[in-house]
Amino acid sequence: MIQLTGAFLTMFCLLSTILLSRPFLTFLIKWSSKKKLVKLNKQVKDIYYSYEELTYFVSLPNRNPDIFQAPLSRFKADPVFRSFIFPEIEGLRIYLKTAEGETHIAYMSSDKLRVPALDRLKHENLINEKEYHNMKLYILIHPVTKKAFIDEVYRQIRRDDRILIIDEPV
Amino acid sequence: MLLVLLLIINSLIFLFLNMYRFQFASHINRMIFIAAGVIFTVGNILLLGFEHSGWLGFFLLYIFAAVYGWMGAATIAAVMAGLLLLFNIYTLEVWVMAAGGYVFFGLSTGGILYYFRRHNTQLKQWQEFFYKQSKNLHVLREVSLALQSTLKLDKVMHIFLTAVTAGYGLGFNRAFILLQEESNPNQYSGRLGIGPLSMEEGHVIWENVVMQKLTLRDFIKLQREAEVNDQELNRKIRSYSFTINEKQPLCHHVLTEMEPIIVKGEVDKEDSLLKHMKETFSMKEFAVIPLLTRGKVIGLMIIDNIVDNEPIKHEDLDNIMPLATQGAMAIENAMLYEKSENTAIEDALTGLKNKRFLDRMLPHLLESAAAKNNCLTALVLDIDHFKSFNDTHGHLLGNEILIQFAKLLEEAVAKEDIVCRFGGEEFIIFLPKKSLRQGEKTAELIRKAVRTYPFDGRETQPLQRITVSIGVASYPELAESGSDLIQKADEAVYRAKKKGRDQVAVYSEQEREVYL
Repeated sequence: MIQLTGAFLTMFCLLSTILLSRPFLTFLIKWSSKKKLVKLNKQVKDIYYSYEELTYFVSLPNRNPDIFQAPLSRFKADPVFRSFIFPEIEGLRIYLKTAEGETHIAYMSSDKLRVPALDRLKHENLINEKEYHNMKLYILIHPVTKKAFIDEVYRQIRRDDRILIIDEPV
Repeated sequence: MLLVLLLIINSLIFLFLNMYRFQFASHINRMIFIAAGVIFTVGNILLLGFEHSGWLGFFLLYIFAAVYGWMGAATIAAVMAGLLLLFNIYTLEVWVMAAGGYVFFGLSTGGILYYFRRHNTQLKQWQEFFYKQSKNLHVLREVSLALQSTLKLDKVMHIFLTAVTAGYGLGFNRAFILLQEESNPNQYSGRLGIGPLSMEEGHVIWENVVMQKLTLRDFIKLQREAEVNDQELNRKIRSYSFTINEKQPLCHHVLTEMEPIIVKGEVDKEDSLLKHMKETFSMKEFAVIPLLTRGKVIGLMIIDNIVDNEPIKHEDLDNIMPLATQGAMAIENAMLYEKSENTAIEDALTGLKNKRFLDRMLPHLLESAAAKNNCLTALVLDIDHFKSFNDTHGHLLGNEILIQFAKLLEEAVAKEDIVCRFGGEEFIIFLPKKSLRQGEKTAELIRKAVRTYPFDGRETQPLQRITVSIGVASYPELAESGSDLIQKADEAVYRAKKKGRDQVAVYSEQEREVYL
């Protein structure tokens, strides 16, 4: 009995290193970043980030009816992980859920995400490199950010390029 | 029961450490992972008995294989096999099986994990490359669209610099342009720049930009704001006008070899332009990029990262060159357009503005005067007996007189006043914000200046000097529209001529009846 329990727990622990590392990483990022933000007296909604580095997999604007006419509710954003045992959050993937499957629309790399407020905090030595990294990831995977990225992608798909007239009419 | 509880506690400790390791940097994370694996394995061996160390060893092997790949797994396999042998726990047959199992498991687990790691790294590299290329294409597309939408030089330069500096663009912190002078191909003058003067200023601007969620096209449209924000930077840039020759080896290299360079550390003292720029703009590392179009360099672009201090890589230069070439082409086109525009609105002989310019400008002048409740006074000038002068001295000297007359007019009026050649020997001057009386005074000054000017051939004129008749009218006092203003000033000239020439006549309704 005891041997069986030992074997079962060992197997569970081994599998946990593969299957639970990603949730553990996410949990820890959320927990530590929330704690730090409280300490710094800041909230996620007060921290501005840039959409500049979004990479699109579709041309913009896009008049493909499957994409152009898709309702906002069908656009989803999920974090992209790399590796299982030593996972990293690589970015945020924005995709369109269709009856046939998923269409990749855009990707925001975590390395490229620009959060000037965090840059400033780091510059002022209020957070260290690891905290800076974790907080950036926390912002990236936060539901508010996900929604904001979806809104931005949706807006870009439907933008009107004809308005880009620089010269005033003569 | 206690043993089961202890086994569960040992597992929970492992799970906790397996989670808590993510709080630390990568290498510490790996160390904690190994420590957790060792603690767990040793704990289980102690709780379950040494006879279970054989299979528990596989767990440790897995941990080392995950951290160090197959090399780590093979080493640990050898160590564990040695320990089993040393402590003589198993019979030789069992030991051989266990040792073989360790080596096989270690190598295969390590190999598989190594393969995945390598595959992931490669995938990441491809991904990054693809994202970068995709972004560059996106920037090129956006900028091409924007560059095609204008032919105004300052706007073209603004779009180009925005594409280089905005995060949506190539994301350099600061950039400025020096253009070749038309009069001297070796002379380069600072024209426009975008970016902060210090790191602190950069942080503030950057936060504002992100807060307002500005896109590349928003930046392009915000030319006026950029001019205000970067006023100090542009004042400094526009003060640069340098002759570039062999004495400035770095810039000269860029111009002759037509290739960009990255300048790191100390700049050669002889390259005074770059040395001065480096000091003025507190640049640590910067790149000098030639603006190439149709095989020649029309200018230079300087870029640096003053805020984030990101090093400039050769790969960045490769990415910037297509954009720089496109920008250079647009700049050259805009310059040519500006030149042809100027030619179209300038009088070829005197260099004054011509009637085409007048027709274009007059509505704006009137609109501005009406909006600000100001006056707009017009002086129409006609050189007296000019036909007779031409008949006597020929058109060559006649033209010379017109050139000198134009110069005299320009010197006689204020900077904001507009002098045009209306045609032949007739000129028109617009005096914005000046009343009829002020206009009359200016006209009188001009008349006196003309009659005393030592024009060649003046002695053959009827009054032994070149003189001018001037008609004055003003909006809204005397005229209701642009054409009305010109017409009334013209009628006043006619009256001045009738009254004996070399006179200033202000338009008046009563006298109009007498003379017309």
